[in-house]
Amino acid sequence: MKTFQEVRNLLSTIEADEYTYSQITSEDIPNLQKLLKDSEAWMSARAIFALSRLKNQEAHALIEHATRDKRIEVRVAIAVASPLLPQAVAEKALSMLLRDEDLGVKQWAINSIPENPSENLKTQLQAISQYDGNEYIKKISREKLSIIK
Amino acid sequence: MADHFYTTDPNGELAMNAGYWLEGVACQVFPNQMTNTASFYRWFNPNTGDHFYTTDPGGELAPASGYIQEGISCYVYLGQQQSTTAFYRWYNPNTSDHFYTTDPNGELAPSSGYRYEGIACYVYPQMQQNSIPLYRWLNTNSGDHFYTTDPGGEAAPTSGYVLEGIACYVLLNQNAHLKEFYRWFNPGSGDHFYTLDPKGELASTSGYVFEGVACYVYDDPEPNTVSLFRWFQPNTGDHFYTTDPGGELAPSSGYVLEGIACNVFANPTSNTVPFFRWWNPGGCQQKITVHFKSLLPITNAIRDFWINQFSAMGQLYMGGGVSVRLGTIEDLSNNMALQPLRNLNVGTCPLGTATTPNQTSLFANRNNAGSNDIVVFLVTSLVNSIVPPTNLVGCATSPAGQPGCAVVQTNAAWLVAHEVGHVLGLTHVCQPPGIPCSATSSDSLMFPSTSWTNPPPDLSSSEYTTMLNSKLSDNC
Repeated sequence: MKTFQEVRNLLSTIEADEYTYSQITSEDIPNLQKLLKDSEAWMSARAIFALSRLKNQEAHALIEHATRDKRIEVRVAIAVASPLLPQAVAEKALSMLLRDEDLGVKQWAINSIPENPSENLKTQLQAISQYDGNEYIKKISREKLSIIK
Repeated sequence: MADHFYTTDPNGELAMNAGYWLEGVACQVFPNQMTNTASFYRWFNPNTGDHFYTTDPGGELAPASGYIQEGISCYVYLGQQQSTTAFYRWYNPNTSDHFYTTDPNGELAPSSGYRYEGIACYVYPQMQQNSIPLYRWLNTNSGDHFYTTDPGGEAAPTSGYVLEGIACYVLLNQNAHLKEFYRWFNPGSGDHFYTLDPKGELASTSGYVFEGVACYVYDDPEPNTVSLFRWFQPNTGDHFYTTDPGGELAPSSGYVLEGIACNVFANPTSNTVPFFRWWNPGGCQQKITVHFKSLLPITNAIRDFWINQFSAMGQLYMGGGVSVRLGTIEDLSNNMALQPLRNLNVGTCPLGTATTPNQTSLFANRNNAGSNDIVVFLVTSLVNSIVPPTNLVGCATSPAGQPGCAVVQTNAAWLVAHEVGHVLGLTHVCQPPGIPCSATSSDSLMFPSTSWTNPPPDLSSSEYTTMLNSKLSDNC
């Protein structure tokens, strides 16, 4: 079992790749949970990407909880990592992040909507494309709607 | 030559062109003698009972209107300064009362028969370092408003006045004790010498040339100030200044304590600016120019991040003769078109010029940067959205002819040095992924992780050679 510092060092790679993440297992979840509270936002975001690779309900619950993290970096990470999550977990997270006030989070949530989204996500996206206060967000929503089934 | 150079210029004047690297902020000093401050004179009219306040030493019409000068009540600003607000003057011809307030609407003055007379001066609405409260009292019989910095209200409590509260915050003094801190330069030894002595002590007879006033400091200790100690290295001829009573590394580096040069603030206070310290160990062979552009609003934390990163990079690179010149610092946070790039998609970030559309858009922003200058962009996040996705801390992929990199804010001190290293042609040690690293790989700057060991990280002689041979570097 790795120590917290070992997990942190392991995930401190500047450009994390699959070799990096392959060394993280479900045993490391408690340390990843601690990393979610790290003082460095990018490190907490890195923990999200590590958790998203674990096929583990506890890991998914931590990600779901982190959708309420105050740091943009963490919420963006969840949006970007959502394709790795089980469909139900991803849908719930994206639904939450589509309501985010930050442009970047919303932008990446829209980007991560799968080609076959649930009716709920599709409805949310349609509403955003019509009523969002930001023209850029409306534009990318319309583009996304044009390619989803 | 070896020299410590101090300046209030965040860009270091010409230091970066001359092989200096930024070591950080030595202390906080005043950039000027606060000539924009003024005395706030108090006048009193014994016939009407009105107290009148003005920055005009002549008292405007007061002397001709039966007022008697009562002295200086406090010190204020003549013009708008950071964190100050206007102190508005109103006059009630029925009660002959002058009323002052920071409320642009005049509180109840307009509906109480007062007419607006203009801005009396500028004051602080909130407590600042070196400021004190200006209390407001009201005489309910005469209607006179009386202002004083005396918490006891002088004679007001026994003269029918009631305390209404704090009107604003004013300057305790006019910093009349601020003195010029003169700068001299010795072209022979390369030493910069700073002194309060207008005659330069022995500088003028020791080959030094007068360069002007570096900043304004205190001769004697003032509240909250610290001493700035002067050290001298007789072998190199370098003068070194620090607020550390222990002298940092000076005693173990052959420096001799010469005494207290002056008194300064250790931390930022009202109206002070950083006194940056630069260090030139000599030996510049090639120089590069690096610009910093932030997609996030440049806060003090971001400025500190940049200063620390730049300083760490400068020190490390100079070890191999590569001098880092600071180009410009630009805040791009108000550029709405760039906001979607704050969480930048950098793809797999391959070394070279294969950029994503996000990177292509971002790196096109090269205001003030020459074709060989390196631009470092600060963003919120760097992500690779290609499944399986991840985030990155830095990425040095940039379009051809637009050298640069993007980084996120981190405590990793050598992140920018690492990424600029890539821009100059360096590659990771122990790569590709999965290849075991040696026991000392993590000591290297180009270790692909921020978990460097035995800091500062190392650059090999061949890596320095690569940097010196980069087409992005110029002769010193």
